[in-house]
Amino acid sequence: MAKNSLSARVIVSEKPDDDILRMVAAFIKERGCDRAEYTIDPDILGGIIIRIGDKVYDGSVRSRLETVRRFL
Amino acid sequence: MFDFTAETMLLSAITDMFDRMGITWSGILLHLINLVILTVGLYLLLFKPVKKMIRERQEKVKKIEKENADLNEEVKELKDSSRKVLSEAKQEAAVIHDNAVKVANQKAGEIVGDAKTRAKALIERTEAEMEAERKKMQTDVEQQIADVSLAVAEKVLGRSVSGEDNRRLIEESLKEWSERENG
Repeated sequence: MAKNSLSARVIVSEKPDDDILRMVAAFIKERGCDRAEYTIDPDILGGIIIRIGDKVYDGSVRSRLETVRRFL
Repeated sequence: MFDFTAETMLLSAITDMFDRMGITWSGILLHLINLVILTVGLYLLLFKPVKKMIRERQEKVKKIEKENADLNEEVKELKDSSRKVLSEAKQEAAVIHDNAVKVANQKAGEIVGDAKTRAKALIERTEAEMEAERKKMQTDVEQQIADVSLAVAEKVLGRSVSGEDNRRLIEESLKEWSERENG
């Protein structure tokens, strides 16, 4: 019951198409979530950020650029 | 053989001549006594004191000469002594001079050595500071280049990430996360 009540927060840079919605739904479902709240933030430049509870999956272009910046 | 007659005649002739000159044997004797008295008086009153004075003067002269000789000897000794003292003073001055020169050279060497050490340390510190500054500048420049490059990349990516690229990025991210968590 507790797992099914989890909601995932999803950030994307542009409005997702059906394929993305489907893939994200499958991804969060595997992690105990049955719904997602989407936010469109162009500042992430691309990719996706998913927050499930305390867990954050960051696949945004901005985070990759930050990784490169730290590496440099 | 003694000719008594001739002698008597000679004496008689002399007596006769003395009579004619008014000279008598008593007068001669008196004159002789006077002469003796005069001689003794002169000897006692004049010759002896003068002789004594001369002797005293001679002794005084000898004493002065001796004093002069002593003084000359003393002067000579003083000269020798002063010459010796002067020589020793010169030698001592030479030793002091040599020591002073030696100490001065040693001091100069120490000062030069210290200055060289300080200069070397200063050069090394300056070189280290320059190297650190160069590395810092290099790092700053590299950082600025990276920042500018990333800023440019952000601008370019913000405009050029297409919908297909974005979809592929999302798909790859989801796949990667799933594989990582599923082992």
